[in-house]
Amino acid sequence: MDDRPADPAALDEDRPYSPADALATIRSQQARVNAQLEPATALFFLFWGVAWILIGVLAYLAATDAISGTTAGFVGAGVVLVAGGASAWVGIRSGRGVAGNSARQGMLYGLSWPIIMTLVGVFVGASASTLGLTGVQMSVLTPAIFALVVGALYSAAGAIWGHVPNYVLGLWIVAVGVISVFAGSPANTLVFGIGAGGGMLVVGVMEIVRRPRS
Amino acid sequence: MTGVPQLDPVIHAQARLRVTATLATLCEGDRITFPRLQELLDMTAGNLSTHLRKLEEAQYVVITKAHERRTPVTYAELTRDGRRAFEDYTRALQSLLAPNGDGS
Repeated sequence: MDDRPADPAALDEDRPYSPADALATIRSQQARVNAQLEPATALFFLFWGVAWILIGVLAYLAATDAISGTTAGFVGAGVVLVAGGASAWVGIRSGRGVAGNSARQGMLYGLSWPIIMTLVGVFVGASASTLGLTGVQMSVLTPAIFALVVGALYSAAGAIWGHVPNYVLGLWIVAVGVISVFAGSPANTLVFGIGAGGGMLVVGVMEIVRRPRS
Repeated sequence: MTGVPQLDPVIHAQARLRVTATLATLCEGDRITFPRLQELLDMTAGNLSTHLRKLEEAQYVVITKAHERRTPVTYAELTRDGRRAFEDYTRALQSLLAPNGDGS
């Protein structure tokens, strides 16, 4: 062992330190680190649960001509931007100061969302004009296509990060997308909004109950 | 079997144990900036530097300096040896607390 002159920090080392105290130190510090570094996934689910329900209701109102399609489109886009901005903020904040494999993994996955959703939107718009689909056909296909892609991304996240509720939610959303087509217009919009959004709210509340902030 | 397990003196000091436990919580291959580490530990910069230096001398921690957007950033990361030492240390603690070897 070395016998170098004591530095201020060495004072701390001279104190006897029991194994039980050491184990308690490890547990409390790791719980604290986990609580601060893990993104608050409950918030993602709550933001998007509310967003999907709102989008479903807007689409229903538009499909029943209670509001114009343009109004529903603009309000819906606003809802998506708010929820997207809020989840980006939560994700970036929790990971700040950490770099390396898991940070890169989280960033690439997070970035895949806006890119894929934008491309799906372009795909839906292009299909409408290229195939000459009617408004009713579009109003049935659009939510279902989004549900299939979103569900696939959620279940992939659940599989990658070993989070079963996320995985099950993804499969549920894919099922909701399929069921919504059977429901037909305009009921499909409510099946989509309440089915997918409701599923997210359930998982969000489960997360809050299961993991209180430590 | 072996006698009483030895506790690694580099890790067995409250402040360095907290530093090591924090770095071990990160996924393997991840590193953390000095200010964020300081925030997770509630330690002064001087105190944290001293302990990181000791861990670095033992080759349990590697410190890297990088420039991000022209700002110097210091990262700390547990080495493979450091991670193993922390695991051995935790196991030693557990066997000290359960001397009958029931593995709990």
